[in-house]
Amino acid sequence: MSLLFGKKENEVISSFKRHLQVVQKVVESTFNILEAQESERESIVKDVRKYETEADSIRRDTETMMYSGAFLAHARGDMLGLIESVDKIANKAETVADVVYLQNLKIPNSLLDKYMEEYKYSLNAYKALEKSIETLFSDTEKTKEFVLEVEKWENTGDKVERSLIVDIFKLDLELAWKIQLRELALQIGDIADRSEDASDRIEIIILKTSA
Amino acid sequence: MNHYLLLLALPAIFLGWTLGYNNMSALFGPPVVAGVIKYRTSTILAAIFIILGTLVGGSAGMKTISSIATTGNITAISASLGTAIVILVMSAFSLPVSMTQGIAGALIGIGIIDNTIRWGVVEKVILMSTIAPFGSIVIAYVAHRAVSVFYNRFRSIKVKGTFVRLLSFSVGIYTAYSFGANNVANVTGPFIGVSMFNIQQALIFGAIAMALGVLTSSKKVIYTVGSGITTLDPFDAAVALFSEASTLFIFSIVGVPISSVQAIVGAVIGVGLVKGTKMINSKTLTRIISGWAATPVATGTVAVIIYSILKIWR
Repeated sequence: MSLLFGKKENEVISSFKRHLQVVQKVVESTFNILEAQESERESIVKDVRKYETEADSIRRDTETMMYSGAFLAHARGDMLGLIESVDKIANKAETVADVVYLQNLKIPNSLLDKYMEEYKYSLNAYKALEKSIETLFSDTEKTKEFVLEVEKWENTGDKVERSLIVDIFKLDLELAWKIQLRELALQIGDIADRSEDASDRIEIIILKTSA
Repeated sequence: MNHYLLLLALPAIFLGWTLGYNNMSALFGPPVVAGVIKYRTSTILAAIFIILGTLVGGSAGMKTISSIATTGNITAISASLGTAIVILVMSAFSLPVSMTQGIAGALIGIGIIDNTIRWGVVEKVILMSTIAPFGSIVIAYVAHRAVSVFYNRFRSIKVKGTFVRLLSFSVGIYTAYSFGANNVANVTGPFIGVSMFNIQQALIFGAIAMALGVLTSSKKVIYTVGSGITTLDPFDAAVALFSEASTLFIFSIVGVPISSVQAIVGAVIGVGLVKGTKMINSKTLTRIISGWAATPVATGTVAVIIYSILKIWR
């Protein structure tokens, strides 16, 4: 009877939500590394890696649960694709942390605000994605609104990213440093891009479950 | 019933088995192919509810055994065996067929050589074969439009999934129950008329035979109905099944018994037409319709051969 009345689905949904929360921790922890002192970076990266590993583990459990019979078979592939695309956001945030920590990247004070601004937009895109996934299980009309919001934050972040790259190459710095800084801007922008990729999958799920 | 009579009743059991083997496609076919219900779960459910339908609702049909029953034991054996053989051959070609059409074809064949043909039966079979699929197409088309308005109001994908599952399970169970109740008279009914079985034995043997048929049912036939005609998503599959059940119910109210196979094929076409005529695989459809046209001719021929051999042997 659990098959008919959604016990397995409820378990998958709560697992999905836990995964979203842990990925959010990864993205938020990485945000702190931008303005952290060099001495603080190691502990932040440790946190990021811990949360990213936790997110991976939740994703695997959710996938196993899903294939034990939750949701209709034709929707499972899309749901699986969705959780994997959310997981890639955590991977990208971890890459951002690594770019800063492993390369011991110094962010010039004149650029810090713009990096923070760009990251904030990527974080907003992720938070909108989180809401769009949560509402997928309760109110798909709202989901569509949040999907549009993801797109809005991604576009706004893109503008900041382009402006940031222009600013980087105006500075009198070594070329290698400029390339490192540009790389950081691109990686931060990728967090929003991946949020948008995940939201595209949500639109497909909504379309496929409509008559 | 002695052992000799049991041997003679084997064609009825064989017919019941082939019926379940082929017609499982009309009970849970589309939801199985669309991944809503697992094949094994569906066959077990179908077997249980066919047995229940036969034992609870099958005796009414037994008491008013069709014209087939008055024809004598050689005719009954020939018609059952001939139809069973043809259904099995059609199943090998992945084609869903109607037993009523098969039995009627067999009786017409025997009627022609015995000069006892009942043209009323012929007209009825032609009428049923023509109106059933068309009625089902219209009902499915309208049902899809109507149910989708209701379905699209659900705002959660979980609720939508639950709705599709509930609809598929409940309608599949209902169809299996009525399948058992309606078909047992055709499977073992003729053998009551010739005193091979009493009603209880006819019900039990019929139920077991049909249940075994669905438990070992042909996946090829299921896939012809569930994906050969058009691509069905879970919602479409549930609506097709619902439309088949509605068609059978509506036609039974107006007193026209129709084949569940023709109803499900019509329903699948109707659901496919909602998305456009290009969504219908005309090649598969032509094969199915050719199979339906060939079935009465084939059962008539095979039944006549068996009938002639039995008459000489006797």
